[in-house]
Amino acid sequence: MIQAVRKKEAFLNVTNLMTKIHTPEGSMTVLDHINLSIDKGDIMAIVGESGSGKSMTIHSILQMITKNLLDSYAGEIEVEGKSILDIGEKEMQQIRGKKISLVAQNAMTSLDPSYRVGKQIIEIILDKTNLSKREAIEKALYLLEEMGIDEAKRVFQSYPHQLSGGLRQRVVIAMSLACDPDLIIADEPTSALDPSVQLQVLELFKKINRDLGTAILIITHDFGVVARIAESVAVMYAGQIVEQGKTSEVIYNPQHPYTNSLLNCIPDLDWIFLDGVGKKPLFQIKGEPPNLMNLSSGCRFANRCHMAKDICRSKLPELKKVHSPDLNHLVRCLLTERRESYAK
Amino acid sequence: MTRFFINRILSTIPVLLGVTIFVFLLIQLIPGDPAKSILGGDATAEAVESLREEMGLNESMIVQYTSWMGQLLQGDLGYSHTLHTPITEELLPRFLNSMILTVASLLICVVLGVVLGLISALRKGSILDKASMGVALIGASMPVFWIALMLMWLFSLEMGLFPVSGMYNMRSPGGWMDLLHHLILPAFATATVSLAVIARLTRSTIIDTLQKDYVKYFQSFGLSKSKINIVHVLRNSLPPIINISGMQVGYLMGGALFSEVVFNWPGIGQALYVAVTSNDYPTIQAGILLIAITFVIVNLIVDLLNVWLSPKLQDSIKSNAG
Repeated sequence: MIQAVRKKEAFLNVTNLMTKIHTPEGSMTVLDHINLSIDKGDIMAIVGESGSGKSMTIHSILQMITKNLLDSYAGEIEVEGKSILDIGEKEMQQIRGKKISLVAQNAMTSLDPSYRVGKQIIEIILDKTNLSKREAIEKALYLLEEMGIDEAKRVFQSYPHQLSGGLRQRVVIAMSLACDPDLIIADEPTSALDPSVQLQVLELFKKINRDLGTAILIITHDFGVVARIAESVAVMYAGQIVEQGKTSEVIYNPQHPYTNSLLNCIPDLDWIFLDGVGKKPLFQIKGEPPNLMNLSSGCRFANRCHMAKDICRSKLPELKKVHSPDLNHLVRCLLTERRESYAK
Repeated sequence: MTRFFINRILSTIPVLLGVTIFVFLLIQLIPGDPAKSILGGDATAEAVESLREEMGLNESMIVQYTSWMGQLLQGDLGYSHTLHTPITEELLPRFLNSMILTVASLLICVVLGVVLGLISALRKGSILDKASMGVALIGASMPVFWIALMLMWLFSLEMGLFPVSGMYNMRSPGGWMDLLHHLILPAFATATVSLAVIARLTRSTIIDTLQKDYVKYFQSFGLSKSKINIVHVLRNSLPPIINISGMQVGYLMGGALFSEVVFNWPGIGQALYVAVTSNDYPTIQAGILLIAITFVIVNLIVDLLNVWLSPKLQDSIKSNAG
């Protein structure tokens, strides 16, 4: 049997997004020319260390940066072809939850301790859809079962503190699906979980994507997570995307020194169990990310890059296509550019 | 759970017993002879001695205490030799009047305090916030009797809106409206300080709760702010607000004593003042005891409310019991 190829339909388009926030020292550009595009049914990952702008990206997409903090947005964010940067709060509330919803970063603290879990899911369904209370209860139970929870009824009746970390994470994922969103954004969904549960949760995301066709944007610092789940990946550093492309391309053929370093940072079992002879020290990226208030004119990674040349410190590279089987493999690195031009 | 509630209620009994012993001993320690102060300085030694005998002052302390407790358990607070009336008859209606004043001021400071604190927290940093917190700071720094006098001067004397003193208008048939009319000024005077305390605590608690992950998470679903504020923010801020309100009851009862004097409110404060100045020990004992019992009951209610509001607490109680 030949399955019909799912036609890709653009859902979210972020074009040249610049986000500035207020700081005591003045306005700071935390996101610089971010371009992302997510089609319906895609699974994409954003990778980067803390402070690289991963969370700012999703908060910009959902427009949840608090008024006191936000200076300005520039560029364009489109949901289903409609610009959302200049729509009002009321319309934005129709997008949050219904079109795009968030899987909370920390399931331990993201459920209200005073209410039963079921009540919290129903609250969202009742608020955002026209379902009756009875239908909402049914839907909540269905979602919990879909999340692979055996005793959905018991979990439904439980308070958050009565559930294990894994169960709570499942509840939060069920909650994010309450109003059948087209895209769920998961911010570090597995960081707070036991390794054994992490895999289950990633499998669950895959299942959701397969069964419901929900697109997933996963934010993580862990390339292991990326490799396991994402079709494409964007690597962020200091508010910019430095490399972007198909996951397999980026992992097996990394073009940016930062991506390369990140991949080298993953310890494997050999490293852990090898004693003495032949044991190399675990790779670490020396130095710290630059202060966004005080950027040099050059590449933002130059100071930590083991390959950096003089030109890297004076000229800011652009995000450019590299020669690769993946037509959308983009890299922001002068050295890669130079190598490519020699090759030609 | 029921067992916990019953246990908690039973646990007040030793506390109350302790209170009676404490009150009893306190009175014993006060210098001066009650019989002498009742009869006056000119009384003969024989007269004083016979009154001491009549009042049971010559008995041992244990006998005095047990007979007092025996009366208490029958609902009899004793006999005032100064006023020549049973204390229950004299003190209980006054105690109820004081409770009317205390409960009214409690309502005022809880309702207004929470509303003010909530608005300030939601509009943090706005002029409204700064203004109301400024007023709260001033309010918290003013003594009750001074506020009472100022309110009386402004609203009764200058504007003529409220009566100057008393609980009912002697020339009118009385009734609820009349009581309310008389109640407003003393209740506000009593409530001011606690209102400021509750408003400030509510504000900081709400600001804390607004930062909680679950509040932000519900916001990410595009639920309306006002709904989240009531269902999640206010609900989770209740326990500390209830705690502080319970603690304020003590201050309110204390503050009510001042308002009673200024506004001539026929409450227990006035009666106790007279009793203290005339060495009327049985009345003092009874008054302190009534206030202490009220305080114990309020604490009990606060504790039970907190358990009722916290599923986590209920679980830890259940697991302790099991």
